[in-house]
Amino acid sequence: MLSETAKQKIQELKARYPNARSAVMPALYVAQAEYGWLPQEAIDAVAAEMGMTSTEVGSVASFYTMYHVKPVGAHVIDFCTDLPCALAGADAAFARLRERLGLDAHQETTADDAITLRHAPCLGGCDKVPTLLLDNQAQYQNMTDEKLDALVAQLRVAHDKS
Amino acid sequence: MIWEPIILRNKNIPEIADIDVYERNGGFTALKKALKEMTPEQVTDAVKASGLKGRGGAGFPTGLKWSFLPKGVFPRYLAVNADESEPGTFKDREIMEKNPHQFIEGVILSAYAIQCAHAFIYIRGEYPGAANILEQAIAAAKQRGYLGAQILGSAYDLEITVHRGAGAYICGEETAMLESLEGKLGMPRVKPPFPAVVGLYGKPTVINNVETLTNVPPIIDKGADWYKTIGTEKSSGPKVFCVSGHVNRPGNYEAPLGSITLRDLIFGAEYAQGVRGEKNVKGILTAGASAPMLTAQHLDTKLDYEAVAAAGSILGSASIIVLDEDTDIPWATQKMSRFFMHESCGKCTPCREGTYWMFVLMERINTGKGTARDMEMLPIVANQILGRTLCPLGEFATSPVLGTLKWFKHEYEAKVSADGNRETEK
Repeated sequence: MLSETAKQKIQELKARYPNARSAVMPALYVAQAEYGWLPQEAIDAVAAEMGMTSTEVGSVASFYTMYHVKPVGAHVIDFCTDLPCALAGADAAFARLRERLGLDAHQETTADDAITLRHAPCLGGCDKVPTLLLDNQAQYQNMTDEKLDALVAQLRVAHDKS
Repeated sequence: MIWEPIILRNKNIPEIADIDVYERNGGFTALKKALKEMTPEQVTDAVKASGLKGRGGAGFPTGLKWSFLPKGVFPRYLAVNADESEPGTFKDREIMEKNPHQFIEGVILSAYAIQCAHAFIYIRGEYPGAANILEQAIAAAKQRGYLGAQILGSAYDLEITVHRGAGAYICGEETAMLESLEGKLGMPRVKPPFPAVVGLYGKPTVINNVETLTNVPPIIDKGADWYKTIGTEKSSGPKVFCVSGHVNRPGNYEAPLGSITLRDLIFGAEYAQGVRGEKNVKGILTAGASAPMLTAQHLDTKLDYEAVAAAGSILGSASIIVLDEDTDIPWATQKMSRFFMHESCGKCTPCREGTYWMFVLMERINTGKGTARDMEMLPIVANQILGRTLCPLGEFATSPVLGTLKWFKHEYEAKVSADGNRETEK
């Protein structure tokens, strides 16, 4: 169930555009913030608020990579391994981070559901490499192995507390 | 000569993201001048006369684009392209984060010129920091009467809405961006009709890049004649160059178009300060992954649209990625092929399938499983994409493969074998 606050927020978003359908992307962000990802229930709830079909909303959600249509960990790290970051060794940093998180081949989320680690396309932080995006909310730049370890430790503490 | 930036003014005035500091340094004087002394047509004419060309990649004359709007059809919209997603491009991010008010003033001036009452800024979802700064800048402008109803006591009203994308390179293509803004999948439209006639919500729409619009306040403030003294006859004005890769000092650097060469930008003391570890340059990408690669022999190419085109590439968004002499070129190409495979929206079959096959071939070659036939297949696949897609993504996707095969064929040859069973070095 979407909270009343979320529903109200979606109605406000609809009023910001000449055509209410434009609010579907921000509405999906609102729903994702509540659910942590976008299960069918969340898609249906957004569709009901938007006056769209679930199929329409689901197709938008699955088109864009920042919407999670499959379950993710409590925190999501999108780690850039595109060319400018890769020239600074981002592949090795990514592999090392996967190892640190104990991720098997093809596994993106840690066993305790604390952290999801994904490859990201270029994040536009090419002058401060490697770069990552945390929880769609903040970019972290110049990520040395030490800084990555510190970030992971911080996320784990936050997850264990919750 | 050291150029005093007029776009990245934050380089000289670090606190210019504070609206008071911006105002103290001439901020919003252009807007006051336009609303008090100039008609919308005069603003358009000034931008036309300045010779300003779009800074997003295509390099289309900005004022001319504005004049394509059909007369008397309202509402009309301004959609600002802040979906900066080309690998190696981070100029609009710096403008929005560090000099946001000049950009917003440019949006207001441009919206006034085309008589639009609602402008949209489509910013990529991966830039949450910049999106927040823009929201604050818009609120500050509104509070001071630069935005909203009856701006500065004139009869002109404008609202600006910031719209966050959600991770799709294709939304930087103008018609895909409009689709996305309308709440649909970000897939390109068939052109014509062009957005100037049938754009956002089916209405006449102008789409301009962040850096382009940030040029407008100085043009209105100081005049087209002044602006035309910057840069070359065909490429006027300053340009922000993003430099990344194997350089000592990656970053954004502003210089007049045509005033410096690739060598100046990569090695100059006021620019990227040379290649790391004193190594030589091997490859240079001038417009991120979308530009055919150039080499060390092109270092003396002037940085303007015409000179880079003459060298066999494109200046585009001016995202210069420098690869040193030790870079494995087929490896770098595979990186770019993977990007385009991931970002192809899937609407046009040649692009959807072709980007996949180019990646598979590159992966095979890089893992020692490639044959000479695989190498021959690369340009065959690329040429089946070229000219057969709705938007330029398909064409861009062929650049890494075709560009590197042109200059570095020997590196591919060294990785393939007759039976696809080459021992790879561990």
